[in-house]
Amino acid sequence: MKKILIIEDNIDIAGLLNDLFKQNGYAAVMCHDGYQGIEFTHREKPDLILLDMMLPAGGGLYVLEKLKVSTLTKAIPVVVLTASRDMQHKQAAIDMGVDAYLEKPFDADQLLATVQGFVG
Amino acid sequence: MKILVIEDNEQDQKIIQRFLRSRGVDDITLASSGQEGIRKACDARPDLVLLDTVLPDMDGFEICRRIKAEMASGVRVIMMTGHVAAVEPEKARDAGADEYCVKTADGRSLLEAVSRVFPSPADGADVSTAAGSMPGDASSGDWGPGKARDAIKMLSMELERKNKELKALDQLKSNFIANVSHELRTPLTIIKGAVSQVISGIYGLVTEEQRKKLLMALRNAERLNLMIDDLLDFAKLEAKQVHLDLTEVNMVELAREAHSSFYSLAVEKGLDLNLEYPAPLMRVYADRNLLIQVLTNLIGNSLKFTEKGDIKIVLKEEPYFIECRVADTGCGIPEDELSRVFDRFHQVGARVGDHPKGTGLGLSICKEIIGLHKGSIWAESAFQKGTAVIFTIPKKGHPGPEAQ
Ligand SMILES: Nc1ncnc2c1ncn2[C@@H]1O[C@H](COP(=O)(O)OP(=O)(O)O)[C@@H](O)[C@H]1O
Ligand SMILES: [Mg+2]
Repeated sequence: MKKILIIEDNIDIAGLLNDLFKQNGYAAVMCHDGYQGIEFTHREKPDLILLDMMLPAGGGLYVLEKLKVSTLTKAIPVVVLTASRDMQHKQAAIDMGVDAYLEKPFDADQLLATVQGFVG
Repeated sequence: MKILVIEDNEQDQKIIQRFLRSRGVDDITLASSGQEGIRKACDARPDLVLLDTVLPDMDGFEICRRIKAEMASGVRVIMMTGHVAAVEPEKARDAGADEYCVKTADGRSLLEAVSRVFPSPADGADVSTAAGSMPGDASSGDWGPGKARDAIKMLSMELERKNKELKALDQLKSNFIANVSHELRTPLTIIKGAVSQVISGIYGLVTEEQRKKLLMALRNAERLNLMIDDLLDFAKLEAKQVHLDLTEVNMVELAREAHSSFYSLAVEKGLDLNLEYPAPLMRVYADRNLLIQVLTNLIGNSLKFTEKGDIKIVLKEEPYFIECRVADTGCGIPEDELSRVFDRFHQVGARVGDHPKGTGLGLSICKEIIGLHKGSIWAESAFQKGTAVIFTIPKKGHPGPEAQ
């Protein structure tokens, strides 16, 4: 079973995503801040990371940069899921090598299709 | 002066503390992580924050951004880095830092940064002597070149201060809008997510009647989302927070993109959606995303207010500008309302048919965006026959937005 790491500080949103992925045959794990997220990724090597942008302890961009710079983690697809509409955030994420950039409120079908595209 | 030092290395903490004490600063607060630093910045309200670039839990630039957002214009931030090679002035400035410096044992770089942030009394002395003798001041007998220099210096310092204040205010506005945007969308994400997951049946069977009501909730959450988009876009434009990202744009390609993203919606409603252009390449210098937003708004309106017939997107080449017309065969706009529909929140009242209500901001947003591009926008309509909204964008090389 493919393992998805959800890095999201809002517990309700994280819970919904968790349900959605479990229901669709993935193993999902939640982290509620950036630091934990980076640590978990290094320890457990998830198959895909779903990343919120506004996070305590290291914003999403910081997490993304750390993950994409390290040779140990840079191959793991990162899908950003954000409430931001800031074009600069988006551009920065693209420059850092984000694999997909989706906006909140999210569309479950689109999210699942995106995830499937990366991990099957 | 109250100083907060956010630094995780104990050795560095000691050096900085010793250095500050030797300069007569006693009110020093220490923090060794980002979270602690932000909390203490809010509690202790320091005048100056000395901030390391790398901390165990957070990146210094992010901390700087947060502190600036939390404390508005009240606090100065100097970012410190351990390596000369790692000085990132651009990044520090983007994060809102007032200065940056390199940590050295003698503290010289830090001292220089502090004196740039808080000009020393020696510089200030000029200001106080010049203050009483402005040009035109009756008491100032001799108006020599020295005095003139002082006055100019004072004025330029005053200007610089005003400028800083304005920048801080701008930053505050933009942070505010970004925060509101995030705060509004988060609960909406939860509502939409929860409702659609219940509908999809992952928490158990849903009856047909329940499903209908949940879909109703979902549709309205979606409407609320569109309204939030409009309101925030408009707030950003109004607060002058939108900066054009100008590139060479092919209007044909842009119109094609808008055409194809609306095509299936139009077909669903039984409407034709056509695109006409005289040449495959029609270049303007513009902000691509913003122009897409204009087209999206105009085509969206036509789709909303047209029940049968067609919608046409027509591009035209004029000597100095490119014209784009979105024309429909819908309910039209009464003559006396033609210019008012561009006013914020204005919606034509008492319409035949049941049109979904928007915010009344779409056309105001378009007007602002086209204005930023130095183009014009207007509407033509034959009541009950149809509407055309036309905008122009100056061609590249013609008086329009400056090319960087
Ligand atoms: N294509 C059109 N046909 C008829 N009326 C229109 C059209 N476009 C705009 N209007 C009128 O102008 C008003 C303002 O439009 P807009 O600013 O886009 O706000 P909104 O679409 O949110 O109502 C609309 O409410 C509608 O009454
Ligand atoms: Mg509209």
